[in-house]
Amino acid sequence: MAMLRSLSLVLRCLVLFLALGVPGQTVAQAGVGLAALQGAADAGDAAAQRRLGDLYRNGAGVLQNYARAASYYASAAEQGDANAQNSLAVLYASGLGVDADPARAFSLFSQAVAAGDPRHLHDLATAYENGIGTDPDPARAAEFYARAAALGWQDAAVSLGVLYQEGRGVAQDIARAAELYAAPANAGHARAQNNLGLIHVRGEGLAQDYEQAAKWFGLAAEQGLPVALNNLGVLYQNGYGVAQDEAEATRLYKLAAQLSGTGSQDLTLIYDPRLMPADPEQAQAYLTAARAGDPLGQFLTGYLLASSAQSNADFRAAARWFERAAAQGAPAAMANLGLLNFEGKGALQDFVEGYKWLTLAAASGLPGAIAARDSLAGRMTPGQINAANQAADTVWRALEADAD
Amino acid sequence: MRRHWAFRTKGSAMSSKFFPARLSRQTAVLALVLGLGGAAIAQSTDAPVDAPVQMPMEEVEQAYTSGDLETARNGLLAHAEAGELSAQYRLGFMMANGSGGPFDPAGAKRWLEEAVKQRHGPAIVLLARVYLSDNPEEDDFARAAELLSMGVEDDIGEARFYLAQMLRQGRGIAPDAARAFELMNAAARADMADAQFALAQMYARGEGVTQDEAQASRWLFQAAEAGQSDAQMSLYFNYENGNGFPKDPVKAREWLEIAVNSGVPLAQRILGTALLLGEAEDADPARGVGLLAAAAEAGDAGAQSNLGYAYATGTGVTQDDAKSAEWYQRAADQKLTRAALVMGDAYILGRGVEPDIEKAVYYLKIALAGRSDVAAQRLGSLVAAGDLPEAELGKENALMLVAEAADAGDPDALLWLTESAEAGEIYAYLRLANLYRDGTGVEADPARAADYYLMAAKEGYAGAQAQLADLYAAGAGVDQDYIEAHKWANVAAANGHETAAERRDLFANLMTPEQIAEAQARARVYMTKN
Repeated sequence: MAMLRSLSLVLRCLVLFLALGVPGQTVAQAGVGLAALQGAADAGDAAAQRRLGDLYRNGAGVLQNYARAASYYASAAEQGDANAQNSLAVLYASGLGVDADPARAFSLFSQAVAAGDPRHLHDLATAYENGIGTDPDPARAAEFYARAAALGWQDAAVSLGVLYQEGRGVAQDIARAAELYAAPANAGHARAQNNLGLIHVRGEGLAQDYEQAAKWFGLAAEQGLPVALNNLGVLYQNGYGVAQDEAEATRLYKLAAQLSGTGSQDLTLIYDPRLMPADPEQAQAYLTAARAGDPLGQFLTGYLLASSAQSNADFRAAARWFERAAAQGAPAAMANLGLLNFEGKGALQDFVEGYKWLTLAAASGLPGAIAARDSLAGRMTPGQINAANQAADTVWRALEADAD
Repeated sequence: MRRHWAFRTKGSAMSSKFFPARLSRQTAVLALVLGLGGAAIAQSTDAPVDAPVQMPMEEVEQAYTSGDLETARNGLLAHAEAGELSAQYRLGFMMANGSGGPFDPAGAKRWLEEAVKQRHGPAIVLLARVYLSDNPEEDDFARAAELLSMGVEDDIGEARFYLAQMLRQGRGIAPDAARAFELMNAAARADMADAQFALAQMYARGEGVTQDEAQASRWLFQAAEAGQSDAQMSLYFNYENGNGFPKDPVKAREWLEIAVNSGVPLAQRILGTALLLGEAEDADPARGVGLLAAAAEAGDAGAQSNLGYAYATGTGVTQDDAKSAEWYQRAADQKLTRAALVMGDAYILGRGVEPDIEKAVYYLKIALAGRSDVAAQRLGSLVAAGDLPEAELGKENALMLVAEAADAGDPDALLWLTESAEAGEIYAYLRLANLYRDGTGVEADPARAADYYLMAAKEGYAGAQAQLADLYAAGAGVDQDYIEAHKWANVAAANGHETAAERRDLFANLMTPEQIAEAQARARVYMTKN
């Protein structure tokens, strides 16, 4: 019991930390107090406004809020901050924190490139390629990709390579595409590696070489690129360039489906590295503490239940303990409740709820929560993310009110 | 015999050895010699205040021989209390068998213990068997083992057999297959048929001895030829099924006839049924009925039921519904499912008995306990027709039974079930939904099935929610709609359905993020409202 008490103490510190709310947070990445940044932004400092926008967009250590981010970006963008213009353009293009407005996005992308940043040139090229706020114009896209690539931006080189490979906006030139992929691929760029592998499979512009293809798909697959995992799976299924292996092919397809958010998802629970490891031998002690209302005991009980769950019923029990601990502000419980909501294990599958809880956990700086939230965002619509931001804000205010 | 011994054995083996005149004369002499000691014992135990009147031993014998067991038992008491060894044993025996008075294991133990003090051989074995009868506990097993070990020391053949059985079982004494085999072998070689049969089993299983089919077969034949009926039946089954021997219907039949002659009710029933139904080449319904009657009188439920069939159909006898019902009822009273079902119908239809719904229900419930689907349908129809108040079964059981009747196509039952659904019974929704989905008992109607699933789903029933999800995914009875399918699968999973989550994820792969978002939003609204 002594150990349990000391664990409780650790958690109470965490809860306190959380309950202090936004003003008490320091932002490691910014290296500056949030209050100081806020002051500068209010005084009209464009850089401070843009950095606040970044903070609220990233939501690591603060509560993510795309609407607030958009508002800070807008202030900085008006003052001509190219980074802010570009970031705001992305939000308008996707509809995060603002109503989607492609025309406005295109206009902001166009304004940002004046400063000549290759990343911004790349993004404008993407807008031309996909017709965001403008008619699709692959020739213009190729032009801007080329300018960004010339400045050393590998993503742009790869995207330009795709246009050459497919002959869009430029005359088809597979050899040129291969050339454009080569440097990024060698530097470890997954998309370049996959595309180069595909050229080797098709034998266009280069000799058909399945072993080379397997090598490049393999390198991209190691980085978790779903399309590369699928391509490598095809090689294994047919025994091209590798020994035929149905089981390996199946494994790769399954992994690809998981990483692209389709197919059944494995649940990787999130643990708080600041706590001592959960000890199954202490399950009874955790439960006793949980029943007495201790949020750490509730989290640990839920964690043990979820990590050894044999059935949906176990997940339901775990979800109930996480809910109780989350309501008391325990970040790790919030994170895992979010995961259960995301996967619909023991709770209704509800991406909005899931994202809400992961956002709240990320606000306390829990590293696993930030990574999980950002990877799961890919399965959501912008409307869901905005709704989740708002819902998180409501919970946050309620927790603050409880702490007062 | 009113109680069963712990082991399978023949009661007749004991009674045939009872009261040989020579033995009683010998023990009478012995009693004379030990007379004084016996009197001392009688005084030291709980002797009744009014000492029983001493009936001369000759009169006791006379009463016994003339079948007046009560007088014999009463007469023995005074002699036993006077310390006569033979009287103590014989009184113990009568008490253990409930002959001439009530079954009295405590009394039997008391008198047999007295006889055992003087190492009376038959008393030792009988007392062990009394200890082993009637739900023995650990202490009883231990005492029995002690007694039987004493009996083996005294070279009593039967003690070897029973001790061997205890060593095989390992209760009250450490199991010891090798020693069990040694004792069983000795008892078998001393021509004890039960031991020969057991020895055959031990050879067949390799129990305490190397497995040896030839020896097993040899001892099985020896026991069967010595009249051991279990061995005879084993040989019948072995030849009939080709089990261990080549299949041989002729030899099977021979052994069955032998077992029939030994009076084994099972053999009588098997042969009787075969002769009755003409399965045997020499079908002989009249003899079949005779054999079934013998087994039926001996209490064999299967034979009673088959005899009921013979009377019902007029096979081998003059058709007679009343006699048929009489025999079926005796079988049904022994909880034989098929007979109970027949009696249920008989009491509904008044076939061979006066119509009596209460009795019909009584027997149908017995058949239902034996998992008879037909009994469930009949009971359901009785409920639906208003002949059986639903309160008597409980709402849930009544619903289940009526649903079975509706499944079987009873229109009253369908109506009853529909009315229950209209009154809001979720279980009725579910059964009706299944009924209309599968078209059992009604014309299949997917739209109607979907309606009922929807009603049950809205009542929060996870199984119905999962079903509804599949209907929406397939567009069966509803317009195809993945959003609704995802929503219901999601809700079902959240309500604890074990496989709905997999279905939900399957649907999700076929949906856009916007569709998934909409489905989740609808599920959230549903869960908040319910």
